Amino acid sequence: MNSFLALRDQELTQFTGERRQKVRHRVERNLHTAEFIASVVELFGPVLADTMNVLGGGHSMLEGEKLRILSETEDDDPYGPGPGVGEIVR
Amino acid sequence: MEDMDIVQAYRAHQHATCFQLLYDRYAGKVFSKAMTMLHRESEAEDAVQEIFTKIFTSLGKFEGHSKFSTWVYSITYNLCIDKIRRGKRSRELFATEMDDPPDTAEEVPDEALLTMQVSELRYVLGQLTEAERTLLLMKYKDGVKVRAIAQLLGKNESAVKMQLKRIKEKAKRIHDKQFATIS
Repeated sequence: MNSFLALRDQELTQFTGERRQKVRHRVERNLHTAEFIASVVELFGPVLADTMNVLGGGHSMLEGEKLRILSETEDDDPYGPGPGVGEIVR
Repeated sequence: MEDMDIVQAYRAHQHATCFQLLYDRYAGKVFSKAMTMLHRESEAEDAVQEIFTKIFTSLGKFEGHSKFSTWVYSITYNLCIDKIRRGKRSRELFATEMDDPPDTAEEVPDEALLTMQVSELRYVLGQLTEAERTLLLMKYKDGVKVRAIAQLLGKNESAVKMQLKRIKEKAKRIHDKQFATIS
C-alpha cells in the first residue's frame, strides 16, 4: 500500500466510535430542526403571506374561500324532527 | 444494497435506518477528504456535520445522473472550499503562481512519494504550504483527477499539472534533505 493510502486509512480510523456517533447525533438534530421549521412554514406560511398582502393594501387570497354555515347547507336538519315535536305537552 | 436504493427508500419514508446506512458508509471518507482540505481535526469534524446535513436536506435534488458517491464528494469539496474562502485562507489556495521558480529538471516520479514511510510523508506534508499540501493530497490520497481539481479550484488543467509537478519536486527535496542524510 502506498504512503498516501496508508495515511488515508489512519484518518479513517481516527473518525470512529464515540466521535462518529457524536457527529451523527448533531446531524440528526439539525435535520429535525430543519423538518420542524419546514412544517411550521408549510402550516403558517400561506396565512402569513396573506396577512402581509392585506396589510400592504391587497385583497385577501382567502376571500374567495367561502365556508358554508349550517343554515345554508342543503340539508340543515339531517335527522329530521325529533319525536314529539308539534305535540302539545299537557 | 446499492446507494441509490437507500436514497430512494430515504426519500419515500425518511427512515432512520436509511440515514444510518448512508452515514456509516460515507462518514469516514468524508472526514478524510475534509482533512485533506482543512487540515484540522475539529474543523473537519464540523465540516462532516455540515456536509451530511446538506446531503440529507438536498437529497430530493439528487437525480442519479452521477454516482451518489461522486455527488457526496462534490458537496464535500465545495463546502470545504467555501469554508476556506470564509476563513480568508483562500488567497494562497487559489493562487495560480507558486513561490518556487519553474524547474526544468526531469519530473519526479510518483513512486518517490508513494514509497515514503507514513511518518516521513507526514513530515514532508507539514513542511509544505497549505495550498501545496491540499493539491498533493487531493491528487494522491483522494485520487481526484487533475481535471476535477482544476474545476474545483477554478483553474485550468495545465496550471494544476504544473503546480503538482513543482510540489512533487519540493516534497522530494524536503524528504531527501531530512531523511537521506539520516539513512
